[in-house]
Amino acid sequence: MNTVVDRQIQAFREQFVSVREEISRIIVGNEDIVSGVMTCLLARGHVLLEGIPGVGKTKLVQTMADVLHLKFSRIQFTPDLMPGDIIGTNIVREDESGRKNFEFQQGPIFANMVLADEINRATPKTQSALLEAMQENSVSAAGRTHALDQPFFVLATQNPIEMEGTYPLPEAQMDRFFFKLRLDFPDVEQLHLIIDRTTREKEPAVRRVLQQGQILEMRETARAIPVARPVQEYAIKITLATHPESAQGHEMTKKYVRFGSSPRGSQALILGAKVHALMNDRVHVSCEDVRAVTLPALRHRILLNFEAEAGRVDADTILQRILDWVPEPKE
Amino acid sequence: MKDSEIILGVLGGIGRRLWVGRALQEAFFGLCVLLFFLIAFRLAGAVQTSGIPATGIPVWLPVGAAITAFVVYLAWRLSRRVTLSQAAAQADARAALRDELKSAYWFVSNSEHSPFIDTQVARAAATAGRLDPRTVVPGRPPRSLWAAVALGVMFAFVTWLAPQMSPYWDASAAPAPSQAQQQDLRALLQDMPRDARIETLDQALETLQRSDATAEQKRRAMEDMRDIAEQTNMEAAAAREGLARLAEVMKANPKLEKVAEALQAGNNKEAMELLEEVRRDAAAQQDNTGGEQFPDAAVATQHQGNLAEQLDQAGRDLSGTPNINAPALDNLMKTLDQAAREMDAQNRVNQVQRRARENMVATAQRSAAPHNEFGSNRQDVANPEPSPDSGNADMQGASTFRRDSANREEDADGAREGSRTGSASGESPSMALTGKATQRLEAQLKLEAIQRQDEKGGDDDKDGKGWIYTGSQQQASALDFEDVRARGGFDREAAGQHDRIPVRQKQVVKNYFLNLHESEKK
Repeated sequence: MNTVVDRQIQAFREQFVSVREEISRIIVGNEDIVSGVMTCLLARGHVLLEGIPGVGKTKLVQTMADVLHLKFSRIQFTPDLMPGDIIGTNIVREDESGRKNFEFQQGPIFANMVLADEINRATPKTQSALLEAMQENSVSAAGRTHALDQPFFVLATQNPIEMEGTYPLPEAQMDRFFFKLRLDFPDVEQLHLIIDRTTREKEPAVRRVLQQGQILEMRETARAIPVARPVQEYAIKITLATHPESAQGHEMTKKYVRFGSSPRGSQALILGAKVHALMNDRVHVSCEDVRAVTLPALRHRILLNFEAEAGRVDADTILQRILDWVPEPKE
Repeated sequence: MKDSEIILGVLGGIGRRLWVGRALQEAFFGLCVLLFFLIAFRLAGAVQTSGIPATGIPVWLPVGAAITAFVVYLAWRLSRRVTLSQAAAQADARAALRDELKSAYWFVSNSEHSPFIDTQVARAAATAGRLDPRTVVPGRPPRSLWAAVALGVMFAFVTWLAPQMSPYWDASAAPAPSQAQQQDLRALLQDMPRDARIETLDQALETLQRSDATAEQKRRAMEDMRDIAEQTNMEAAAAREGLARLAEVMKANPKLEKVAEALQAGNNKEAMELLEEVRRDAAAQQDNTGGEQFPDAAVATQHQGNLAEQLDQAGRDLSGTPNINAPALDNLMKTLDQAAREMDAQNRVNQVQRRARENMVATAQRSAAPHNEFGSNRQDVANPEPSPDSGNADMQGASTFRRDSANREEDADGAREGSRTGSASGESPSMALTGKATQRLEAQLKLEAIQRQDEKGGDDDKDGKGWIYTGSQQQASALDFEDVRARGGFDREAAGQHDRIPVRQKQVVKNYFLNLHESEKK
């Protein structure tokens, strides 16, 4: 028995659980969302949160920033937001000798956790500036490249109902997000809890349970989890089943999907499954782990056609059918 | 023991148990298929007798080929071993291990190493060590066993317990007209005097007995048997008539009155015994008289000709004299004995012909089990048209056809006159073209005439000239109308008319409706 690895795995699980429990002191319900956000953080991905106003998207991110000992910044996306407002800009500064020179003034993106609130309200130009930073983990300004501090984690939110005056993210840019999580409206019990917690004199406080270094270690642990070829093959089959032109495409895919998931989808499936396995105290990834992360990992990566829009068939329905259809490897 | 060895050992045990279970499952499945076909063929009774239509290939050939192919397929399936990866997948699924053994086996078989992989393999080995192959793959009987048992019970039921299940059971359960049966029939003829008709009958039976005889040869043999039976029946009928006449003559003689009564009752044996007594009395009387002949005694003459003539001659010998001498009685007894043999021959010939025909009918019904295929091979059977209307209703199995025919008569409405003869297929068109069922199809072509109204109103139509056929007049109008239409330019014919309809067309239409109206009045 490899005690070092066992200790790593145990530490991972304990830290994960502690973060989740701490967040649950503020956020009511949505355990899956919290786990999903943590999975994105530990898999070196970014997350897109979608939900109607008031369900706690921003609150969740703020709470998470409080729990994790990370540098946090929030950008409220508006139509007049410019790329420089996010990345930063060169300003002229005069030194003591009276010489003037340009100095790079870092924007809010220079943080460990960035909340891009209502990302679809900014122009595509501004959106692409953020998305470039998400992909490259660095920003370029005035001919110079500035690396972003790790962990760099973007949590973007968007409102699915107020579409007027918005710039929906193109599918190619949606692909940059590791997971797309949907926050549902809370039920009655959860509403009672929310009211109880937020209408009193003092809201419950959270403590910081994870340091920056611990998060990086957890990321390394997640990456080290081995995946057997049959399980990897299962994830690939699921990805291929979203392709209408593929021979392995599902019947529903061929009818309703215009473009299937990119290879990033398979990567997200495997990485997410690794974190999911660790969360469940396992060193190996199973097909069950892959299934558990399929919806958040692939729902924003498949592009539906007009027939699906007209028939009100959403990506989750198609993915669920695919999960029911693709068989687990028998050997 | 290394972790990998533990994993491989456990997977090997699980794989063996899986293979045994799969082999049992497939073997019993094969048995199910075999039993299913056996039951199906047992019910159809078609294996031995039927051939594939239009090819003549016996059914057992493709059936045997299919069974052989199935057995080979089963053997191939059974020869495939359960791989360790399959065993690992099965163990994961059955013990809810979330792909632990499958992943570990993959890492072990691919010799991949890292601290995390080693940890995973070690954990999997610990899990495998706790696994009991008998728990993972319990040795329960396969589901196909119960299906096989059920089918076996059904097969036994069909074979031994339920003859009434098949409408053709009597025919199919009965052995085919075997050589033994035909030998029995020929044995009936053995102690009969060998004459031409018995020889012909024997040859016909031999033909039916031969397995290489063609359908045509068998049909001819059956025809020969029928001819002989008819001839024998005719002769027997003549003999019966002769006996009746003889009995009338004998009634006039008081000594022979009882004999005559016995003959009229058809009791030849009793008549012979009574006649024997009369002969003994006559012989005793002759001894008492010292061997003198009665002056008016019947003269013993040698009877010549066929049996009927012999009987008539015997009657003439006995008529007009109350005394009968022994030689005359001997001749009479010989003639009666011959008549008795003729009756016996008739019985035997009829019996032989009836049983041979029954055997052929049974064969035909087996070979033509589905009704709708009866017509395709009806040439092979003894009676190609088993219709009661054709006079061949006194056969086994003909009740179905009789009933069918009766039903046809009940709801006969004239519209389906072609299928009243009760063809074996029920709904097929009439096959038999003889008998009362065939009706002539008459076309009802009638022309009605109307009386042309004479302007004078007189009745001068005695010669029929005043009657014209409305059909002819209507036809003429219709032809005129078509003629005008065919010109295609009748609108140009009457220039200057405000409605631009040609006068000729108007006249034609008027004539048409006038004639039509008059014919309706009529």
